[in-house]
Amino acid sequence: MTFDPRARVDERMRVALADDSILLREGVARLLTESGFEVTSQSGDGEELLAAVAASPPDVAIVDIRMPPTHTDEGLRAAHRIREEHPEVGVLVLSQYVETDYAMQLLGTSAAGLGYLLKDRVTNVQEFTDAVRRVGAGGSVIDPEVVSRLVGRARQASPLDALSEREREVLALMAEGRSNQAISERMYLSPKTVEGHVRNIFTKLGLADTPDDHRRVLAVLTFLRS
Amino acid sequence: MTFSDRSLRALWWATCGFILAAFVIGLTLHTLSTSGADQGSSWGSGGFWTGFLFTLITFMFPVAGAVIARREPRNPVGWVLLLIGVGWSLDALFTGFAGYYWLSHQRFVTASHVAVQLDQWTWIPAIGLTGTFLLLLFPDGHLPSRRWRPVAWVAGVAIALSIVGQSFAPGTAKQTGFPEFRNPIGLPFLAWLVPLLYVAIALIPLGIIASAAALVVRFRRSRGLERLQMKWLATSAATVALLYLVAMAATLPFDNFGNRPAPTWTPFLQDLALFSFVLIPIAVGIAVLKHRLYDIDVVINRALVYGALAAFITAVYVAIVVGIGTAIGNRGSLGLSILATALVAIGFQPVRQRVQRVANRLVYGERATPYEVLAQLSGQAAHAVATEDLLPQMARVAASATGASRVDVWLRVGDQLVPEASWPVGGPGLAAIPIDGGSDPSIGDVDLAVPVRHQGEVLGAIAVTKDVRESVTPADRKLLEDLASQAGLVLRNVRLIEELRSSRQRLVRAQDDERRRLERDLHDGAQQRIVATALAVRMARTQVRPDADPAVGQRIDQASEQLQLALTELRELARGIHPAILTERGLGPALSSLAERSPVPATVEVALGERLPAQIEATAYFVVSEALANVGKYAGASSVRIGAALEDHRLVISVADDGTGGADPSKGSGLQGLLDRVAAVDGTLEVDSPPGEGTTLTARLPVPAGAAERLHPDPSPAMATVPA
Repeated sequence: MTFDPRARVDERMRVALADDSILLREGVARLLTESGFEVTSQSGDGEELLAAVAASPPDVAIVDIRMPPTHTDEGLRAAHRIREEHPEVGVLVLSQYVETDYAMQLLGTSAAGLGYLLKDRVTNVQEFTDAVRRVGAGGSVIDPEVVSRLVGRARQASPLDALSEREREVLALMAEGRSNQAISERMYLSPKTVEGHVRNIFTKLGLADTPDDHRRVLAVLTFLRS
Repeated sequence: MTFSDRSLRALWWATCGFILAAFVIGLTLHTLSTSGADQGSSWGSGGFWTGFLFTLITFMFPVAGAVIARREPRNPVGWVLLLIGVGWSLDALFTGFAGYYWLSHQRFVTASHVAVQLDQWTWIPAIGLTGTFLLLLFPDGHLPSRRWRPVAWVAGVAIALSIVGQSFAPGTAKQTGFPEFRNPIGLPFLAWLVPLLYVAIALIPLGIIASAAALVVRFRRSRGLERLQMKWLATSAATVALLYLVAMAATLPFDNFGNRPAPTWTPFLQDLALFSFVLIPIAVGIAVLKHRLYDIDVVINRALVYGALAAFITAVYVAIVVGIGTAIGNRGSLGLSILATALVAIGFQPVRQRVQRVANRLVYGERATPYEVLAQLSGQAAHAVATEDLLPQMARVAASATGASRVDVWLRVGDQLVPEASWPVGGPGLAAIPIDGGSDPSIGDVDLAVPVRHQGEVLGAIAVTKDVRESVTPADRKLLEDLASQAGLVLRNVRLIEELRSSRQRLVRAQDDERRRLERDLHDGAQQRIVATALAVRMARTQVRPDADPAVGQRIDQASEQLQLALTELRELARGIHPAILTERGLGPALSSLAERSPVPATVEVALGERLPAQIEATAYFVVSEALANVGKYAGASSVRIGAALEDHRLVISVADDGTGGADPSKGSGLQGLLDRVAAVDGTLEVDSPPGEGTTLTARLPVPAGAAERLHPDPSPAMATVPA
């Protein structure tokens, strides 16, 4: 699957919202609208969201993981349905808590156009809107908490020990789904340097390098989880 | 040969009528006789009354035969007994006829000679059939196997030949009690038959020995009902044989070798042996018709024990008083008698115990005696046998005592009887049975079920199923009732403990439910609200005008940070109360999540195909959680392995570290709480911590078969079923 970068600068990114908490949903909708997004629909559960997406496919669907009727993983299931029926729609799943298991389950075999964030992240407007844009553009977003838990996890002898401090930071950012460009901006490094770090990391961990950011996410997460 | 029911009935009437007529006529003539034809008999006290009594006793054979043939006309045993009766009745008829007419009144002399001649063979059907066909065919009328056919043929031909030969061989009859005469119906051309006749008569005892062997073979392989039947015949036959042996042994030294006049008690002993014949028809009749009513085991057991004890006492006395007395030439020594008495007194109890054991083994086989069973059970109840073991023990004990193929002990729980223990273990599961109040529970499909009561209240039941070939004996019933009366207190205790256990389970379950509810409330209520608030605060911050007091912006930023911290704390709090991943994804993912957060490098090996009951999952989770916390705090370990696997309907959870070991589970460390939790689901918790070799904590939690899905209050459809 290839994704066009959707360089519709003049057009506003279209977003469908699903959350059973009206208070929060309204808040997020206002935040997005004020940040230059177009909120196409607001739904209280998975079924409503699917109907809304089918009626007017957005660029991104932002889904709360716990919704009626069972308040367990309705959001995840709605996400899978959307991926199946509307592959061009990006899905950003928000959750009250993050678990690696859920992240891996959500990503499945492809991390393209998928995001998994702690719900708290909506309060950091800059980070949140950035994540929505990345998912809308076909990229991947994994919550830093998932990544930090995986990277920071107590390990016995591991290839990770061979990484320098810098390389670890780069690794974590890669796992969060960031592109080399984003990493270089964030770390105030030249793109060349970042590329060098990435190459080093892949060599040291024995992973095959891949040009796609979202494939890279999966590879790195899988490595960290094993 | 097949007969219609009609012709069998006609045959029965004819035979019975004939036998009755012959006996009545014979006995009447015998009573009227003045000569006393039996006086010359060498066996028994002789005389009129002995003859009369013996005739009456022989009459028992056809009586038994008549009853059996009437009830079970297709069973040859009854007809064999009737034929034996024909023999005895002819004997009575012929003897009575000749005694009355010939000896008392000198009339019908030739006819009397014929009668006496024919009476020569009446013992052959009487004794011969009893010794051969009755033994061969008892109790079902069939030979033990085809291999015994030659025996039956030889016996049958020998009996027939003997009868013909005794009737028609020419010569002089030497019939006891009658004067000599020539055989009036002797056929001279049959003279050659005489040597053959001796052969045939000699074959009869051989046939009896072979038939006795058949009886032994049949007894050894008999089971259940047949075995019970065999015991009756075996016991009576053995008694007759024993009395004959005793009588013969007692008589021999006097008559033939001793050349001394026999003491007066020997004829009585002989009479006793003679009369004991009555036992055989009675035993056969009971065995065939009433086998279910009486249990002979106890009788045989006692007879064996006391017989052996009598033999022991006799042997000691003879050996000491006669043996040593003869050797030292003083048989009347008082000292020797005292010595013998002392030895008997000392030896009596040990010998009795040993003999009793041997007798038990002979009579009950490997089964325990009823007394042993009750003693065993009382012993277990009194000692500190774990309650959960008590009922299985009871089932096992009941099974070994009754020889049952299956025993179930039921326990009353509320308005139901619940199968609590079974023997053998692992049989098919049984469904609970509803019961009402004090009435006896009815348990279907078992051979015998006895309710267990305590103070009038039904607390449970013991149910026994026997092998198809076996039947419930009265002794079994008595034993089970005794067992049930003892079991009342036991079941009451078990029930109390059961109630305690289930109330503890209810508490833990309620606690789990409460925790889940709290976790959900925190996530879906408070947390959502705080996120929304934090969002509002953030947006408010963007609306602060650049020219406003900078302190305003700072305050708002501080509030935002505090809210962020509150959210993190809330998340951890909810997780500690009850991790959502456990409810939603099950034990495996929850344990992986724990391992990710473990301060000590942790690996997880989970082999679980399915979700388990929520209570089991929660217990397992908290065990691992607590164990990991302990590893982090005390163990000084560099790695820890977490294992979860289903083994034989048990979830086995292990947490093994490579730390310093030597942990003392009795010292705090949150272990007591875990122990209580584990015990509430009937699990066990084990801590193995040899110094220097790390600590392994193992929890074993029973998982009821098929209980997984049913017990889940909140089953979440697994995401794995959704294509990714």
